[in-house]
Amino acid sequence: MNVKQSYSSFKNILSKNRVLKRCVYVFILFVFISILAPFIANDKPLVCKYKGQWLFPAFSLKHQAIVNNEIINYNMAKDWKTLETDFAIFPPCAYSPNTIDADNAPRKSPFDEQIMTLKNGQIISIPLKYRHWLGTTQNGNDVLSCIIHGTKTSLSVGIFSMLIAGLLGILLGACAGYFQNNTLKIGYIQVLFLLLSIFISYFFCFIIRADKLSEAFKEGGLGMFFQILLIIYIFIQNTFILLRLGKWIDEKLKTDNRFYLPIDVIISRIIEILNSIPSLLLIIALSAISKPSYSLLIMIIGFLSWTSIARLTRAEYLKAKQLDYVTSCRAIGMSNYRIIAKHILPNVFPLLLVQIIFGLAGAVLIEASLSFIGVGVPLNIITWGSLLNEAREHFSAWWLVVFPGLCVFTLIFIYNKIATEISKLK
Amino acid sequence: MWPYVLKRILWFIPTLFAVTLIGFILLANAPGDGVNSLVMSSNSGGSLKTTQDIEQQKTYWRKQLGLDLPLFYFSICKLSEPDTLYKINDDVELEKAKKHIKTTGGYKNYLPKIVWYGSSNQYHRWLFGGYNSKGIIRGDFGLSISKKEPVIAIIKDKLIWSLFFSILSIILAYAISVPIGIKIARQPESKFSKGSQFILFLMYSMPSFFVGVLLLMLFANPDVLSIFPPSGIKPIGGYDDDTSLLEKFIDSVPYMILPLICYTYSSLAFISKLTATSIQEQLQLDYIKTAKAKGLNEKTIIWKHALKNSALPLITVFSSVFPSIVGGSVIIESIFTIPGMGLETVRAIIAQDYPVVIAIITLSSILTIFSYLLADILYAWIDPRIRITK
Amino acid sequence: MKSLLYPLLFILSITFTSSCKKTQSNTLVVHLLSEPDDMHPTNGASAVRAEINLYTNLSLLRVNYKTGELLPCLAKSLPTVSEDGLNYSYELKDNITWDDNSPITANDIVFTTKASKCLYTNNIGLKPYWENIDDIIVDSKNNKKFTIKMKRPYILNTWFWTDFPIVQAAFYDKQNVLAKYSNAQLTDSTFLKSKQDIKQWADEFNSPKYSTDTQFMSGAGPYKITKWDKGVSITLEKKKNHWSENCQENWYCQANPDKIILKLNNNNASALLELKNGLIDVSTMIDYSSFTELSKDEAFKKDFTLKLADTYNYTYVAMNMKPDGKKHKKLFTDVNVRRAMALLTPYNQINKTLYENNNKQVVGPISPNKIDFNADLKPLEYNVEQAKELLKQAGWADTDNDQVLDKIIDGEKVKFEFNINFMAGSKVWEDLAKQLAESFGKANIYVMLNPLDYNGFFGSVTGHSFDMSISAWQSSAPPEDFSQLWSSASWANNGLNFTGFGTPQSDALIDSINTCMDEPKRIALSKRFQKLVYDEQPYIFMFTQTRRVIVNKKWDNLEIYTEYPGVLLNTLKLKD
Repeated sequence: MNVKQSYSSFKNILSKNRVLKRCVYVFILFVFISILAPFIANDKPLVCKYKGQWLFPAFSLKHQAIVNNEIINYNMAKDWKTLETDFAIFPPCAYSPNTIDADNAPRKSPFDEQIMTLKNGQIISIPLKYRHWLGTTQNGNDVLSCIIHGTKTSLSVGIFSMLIAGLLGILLGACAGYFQNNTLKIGYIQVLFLLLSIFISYFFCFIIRADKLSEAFKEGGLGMFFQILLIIYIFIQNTFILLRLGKWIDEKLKTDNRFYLPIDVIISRIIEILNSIPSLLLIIALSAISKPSYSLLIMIIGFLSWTSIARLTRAEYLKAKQLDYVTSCRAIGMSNYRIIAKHILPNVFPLLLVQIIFGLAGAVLIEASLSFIGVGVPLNIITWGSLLNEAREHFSAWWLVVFPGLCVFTLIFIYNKIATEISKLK
Repeated sequence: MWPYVLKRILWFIPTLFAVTLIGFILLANAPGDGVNSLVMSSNSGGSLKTTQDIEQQKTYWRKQLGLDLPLFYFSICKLSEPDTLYKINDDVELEKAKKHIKTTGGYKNYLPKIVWYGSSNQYHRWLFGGYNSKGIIRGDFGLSISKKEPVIAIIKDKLIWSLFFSILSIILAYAISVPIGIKIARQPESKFSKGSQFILFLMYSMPSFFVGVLLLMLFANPDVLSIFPPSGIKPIGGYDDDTSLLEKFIDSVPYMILPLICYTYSSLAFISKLTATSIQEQLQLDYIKTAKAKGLNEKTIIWKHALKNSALPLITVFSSVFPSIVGGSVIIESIFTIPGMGLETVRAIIAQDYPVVIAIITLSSILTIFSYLLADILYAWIDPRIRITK
Repeated sequence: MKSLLYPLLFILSITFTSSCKKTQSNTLVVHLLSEPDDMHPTNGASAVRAEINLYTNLSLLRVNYKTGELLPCLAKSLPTVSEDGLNYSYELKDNITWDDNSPITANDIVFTTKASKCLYTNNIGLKPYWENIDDIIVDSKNNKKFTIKMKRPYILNTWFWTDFPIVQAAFYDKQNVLAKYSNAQLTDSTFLKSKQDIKQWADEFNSPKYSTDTQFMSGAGPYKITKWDKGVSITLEKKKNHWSENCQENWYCQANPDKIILKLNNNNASALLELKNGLIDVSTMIDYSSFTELSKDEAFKKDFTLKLADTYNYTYVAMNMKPDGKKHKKLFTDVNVRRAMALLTPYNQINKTLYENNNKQVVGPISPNKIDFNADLKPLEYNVEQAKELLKQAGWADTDNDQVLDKIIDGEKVKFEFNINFMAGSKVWEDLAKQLAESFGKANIYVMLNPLDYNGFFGSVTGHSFDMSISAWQSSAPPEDFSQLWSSASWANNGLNFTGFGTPQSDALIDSINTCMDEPKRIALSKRFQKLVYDEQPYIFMFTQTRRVIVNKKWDNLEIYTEYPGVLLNTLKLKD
């Protein structure tokens, strides 16, 4: 299937199912909000004219501009609103999530009277364009702005962690389901070399490169991601080379002692072990042990929630293996990898997608729960969950409960709805 | 049946070991030096004047906590490293030693070696006991860093509360959702079915912390409705000394309702859906049709025959509901200040009291494993075919 | 569905009947934010424990809450002091007894001292307080009379007794082991090595049962801990027929409520709900904005007294004046930089958003509520321009246009970015750190938030491994001893002087304050010392803290004090 085809079939499905269509549109809306957040909610004006010079602070990558020998510091937060500009257009929500508006703190409700102090000390009722439409927090952060910027966190944690979990789950599940315990034959020397490759890779990754690894994990972010990719690469490469070498030696020695590799047993055991640890507890512990960061959280969720996907994949591959088209594929001598990837996968993918989308909802819930109890997430980023956390100290601030709570609910709801609707399609 | 059960139990032993191993790996990699905070927190007046005093205290605690042992039965290390590198506990010293090894090691830095330590190691001590420890198989999870008490003494009561809530909420979830599921199965197109399914689906998507905070705001708040007490699990001041268990339970009922709603509501959708589909499947089968033809009451058919045969998937769900409830307790207990394991986890994580955290994780994993085992055995008990085919 | 309805009705009916079940009369329920770590009579160190000890234990001397002066408690009167200020003679009251009706004698004082000084007991943090005691000599004729010999004159030689409960020798040392040895022997480590009986006694004495099991708690106070439900509540019950019934004129003898329940709740919102529901009678821990909210609520004010009270506590932001230069860069070694940081602190904004404008700004290392406060020092005001100027003078400039100031220090380019440490789990500290971060950002200083647990936080400050850290000091009525917080020795041996403040001159000044027994002279010296600290600006001095006292109006006889804990629970009387 090429892109055009799949797009048209996608459109076709949407036009048939109105519920699904609406949910997908809401999801797309969330995606747009998260991408355009800096232009929807920002304390810097989109365009302004200051002392005869046009400035575009919200779009600028620089942090300052020089106008008539006067340095305009772009991160002056609230002071933009009292700057004497000739003309300025602010984003629809004129605050960044971290902007502190002391005039409207602590915790002004959306209906409270909101004020603004001008440069000359005069206090006026706030102009509509600067109003906090969804109220403020203890420190005077704008709730609307926090919610808009929080969309990005919630969406990306879900999507990226499920990307990891999906890849891992499908790969392992397919191996377990397709090869089972009676397909992959392996020689004794090869087994020896397999163990050797694991040993060598472990030694190289975790002993020799220990310093670099711990440094990267302390730093977090991209460096850590790169290190993890590197580890996976080293393991795969070593295994590949040594397995080949083992096979070659096996063939040279002409040993007939080959036995079946129990892939299914191994993978099922791993799934069982991971499933028996309550995942939220484990995620909390893991994310608290390391320095809080979202990239780490994504990886932890990803590497712990692949089991349900793998289980389903395994079951589907088991079923598919019995079907005629697979048997005929094997009969004409097609390679196992080709059958797994090109023939079975497209057939079972819709079902797996359902599971992955359910997983998305779960990941969003985990992220929000962690921010709610304030463990394992960076403090300086305000998210939906952390807004709710603030409400936990003050129940009178209903706007801190209702709006972010509804956002989490909506996102989880549309994920779940999309998943159920897709599963009904068949 | 017994050989099958025995086989399952034997299968669970390696899983148990693997779970304890994961717990131990987490514990060993936890940041911060527990011994350091133990010593420094009692040194608030600065009375351990010399670094020698402090070192002496640290050595004492290391010995008490078994941290002077190697981590595991064996270790893989560089050929250039001496076998006793684990004995250096000070981070700075260790760094120095490693640097020294790196510069002088030459080619030996790139060759592996395996050192065998035998059973005198931290994992063995942690699991089976050793100096100053009975091991977790005898219920000794070590010493809490922040409270300086045995971990098991801290979590014993908390475990009971958490278990109480999870079991009660599982029972409640089944008691509510099985009848709903049956009703849906009997009249799938009725208004009740559609409405309840939609509402349950909505509830399924509600995050528990959102619901919990809302419930408190609405039903424990004198400004709105003050029906339930806002926090805790017993009347203020605890129970009177001479109250019976039943009276204690009745005293605690108002405290339990809001948390129980939180624990239960999200699993309703799942279980009722499952009941509905499996009963519907059963209703298509011949034996039901025969029973109907015989003129048996539909209610008795469903409750006596169909339900019994569709119990299998319900049992499977039981084993997956349990871990999610244990995980959910972290959130719900901290909202309603229930002194259970979830609240303790949050406290311990904020206080970086990792022995407690790991003990809770290990313990709840073991419980989960047992719930799986229980489900398996029930499975085999209800459906004899399982024993043969599996 | 009908079958479901009945159990539901049953549950609801129980709910309505029992949720109305309030506590019995003459039981005082008090809101507690955190549980004491342990209740050991001599080894424990947490502040909550000290509050409970006010009611369950008695000391030689106590604080007179009304005047802030010393009050004899177990002692008949204040001690007579010898000429050189080293010997203090006390006489114990007659007719004072322990729970088993045996009289309290000088031997118990001696035992308390020995148990605290003995090297084997587990009160490492408290030992320095006892160090100054040389020996206690009991009058051979009268076992109620004794003389305490001190090693050196010190302003707190009498005051320090107010902090320590006296424990019963017969209860904690049944074999009478410690009586056999002298104070000197018990503090001699080589001597102790050969004494197995002391080791045995100490192991027993240190064992957790004395700090957690209510069966093993004994004190001379009018209340007794009868139940400790971990993580939920602590119950104190009035002792029956206690001797203190005969001395009701002293606050420490009073025991008006029959029962005091300390109810643990560390969540502000649910504590607030409990208050509103009338489940809690007394709270001093509700946060500032909730307090303001409540004081506007007329219905609530009908039932509750709300009062703000001063305390001697103050918040501060410490800066590391002597960092190692590697892990922590030399950012705050220059006094100009430290002053600039203080000028960049938005005091008014913080006071408004976090403290509802209730707190006073402090200028030096002492609360404005104390008599020796130096009123001549002017509080700093938020001034970004002046701060930028000071930073420029100190050599900080944004040379590479990356929005973060930089400077060449020891040949290495250092960026002005650092961590603010604070205790995790407290929303106020977190909000405060966020406000500081935003404000410093306006002067191109980049700040990261670094919440730490108690042990980690404490380890980082005492180990001098921090850049900036937010915290508060709790202080009390006695004359201020600056040596713990400000002497250079306290920095060198990882004490409470975190910043590295201290010169030979300031150390000498502290010493002369500590040994000055002449009050006006001491106040003058103390004022000089405050000026010294003010000029050096090792802290950003923030605010005094106010206590938010909320008491149910059914309790009478409410008096609020500046001294910790603000309200004396045992003196509250139930209205008829």
